[in-house]
Amino acid sequence: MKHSTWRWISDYEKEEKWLNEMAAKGMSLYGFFMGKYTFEETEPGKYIYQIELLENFPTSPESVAYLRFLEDTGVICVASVFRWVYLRKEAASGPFELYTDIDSKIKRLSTMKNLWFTFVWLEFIIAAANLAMVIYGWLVVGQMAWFNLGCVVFLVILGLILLNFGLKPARKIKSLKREQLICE
Amino acid sequence: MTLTLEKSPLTEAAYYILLSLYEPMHGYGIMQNVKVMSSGRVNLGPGTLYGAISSLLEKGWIISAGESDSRKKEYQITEFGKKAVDCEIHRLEELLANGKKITGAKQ
Repeated sequence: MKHSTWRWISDYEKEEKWLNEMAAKGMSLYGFFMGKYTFEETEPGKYIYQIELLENFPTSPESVAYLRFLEDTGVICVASVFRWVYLRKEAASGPFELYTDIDSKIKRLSTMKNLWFTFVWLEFIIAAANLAMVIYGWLVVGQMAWFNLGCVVFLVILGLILLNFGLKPARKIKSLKREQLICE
Repeated sequence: MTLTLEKSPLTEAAYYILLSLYEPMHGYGIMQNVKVMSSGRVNLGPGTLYGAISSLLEKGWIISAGESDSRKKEYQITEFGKKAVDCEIHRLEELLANGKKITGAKQ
């Protein structure tokens, strides 16, 4: 039996938790497309899931080599969106932890931080361009550019949300680096 | 490929991977081998392992050694990698000797 459901989740940690709760109930994710999750019925707790952000698109040679390597260790990629991949492993073969030392944990978090901060900068530049148009319209043309003003407000709010996404891994990196001073 | 031998300590992961590769081995084999060698203490995550293997290949401490019967990519340590392990053992011996000397004297 296959089931599918729509859901909008912005936080990958919450998403991962939800997928693992579903898997524990015997609903194992095997596909994702445009916000639609597809599940297959399996025995409860058969799989453990992890969501990973790749450094390159899943179709790039680097990512293909990495995913092939993971496959050799029993980790299967069931779906991907943008650079994010949904990975699963059979629970019977032990715990599922992709990264087991501080160095690689920091590297993973940096990839995430960089992704969000790139978006924040992009938003900021577009917002600044719109703001310039608002000021130009108001002072030079003598007309209020309401559409651009709306864009500025929208982009600033979105930017703040993305900034928050980026700050989360940034904070974790900071505490891991402190830990790294005394242990590996 | 740049052959470098830094003085900095090896990570536990790198050290155990290098030791495992005195015989050709694929990724999953390394994970299993390290776990057995350390009596279950060191569990290498596949992400960490992949990153470490990539760095070791780049440094020229290990090389690809073809594919196993199950078509999995195998790796093997190079002479340069063995030198790195020797340096590390030397460093560990120093740590161990000093640790024993000081704590042993107080016990």
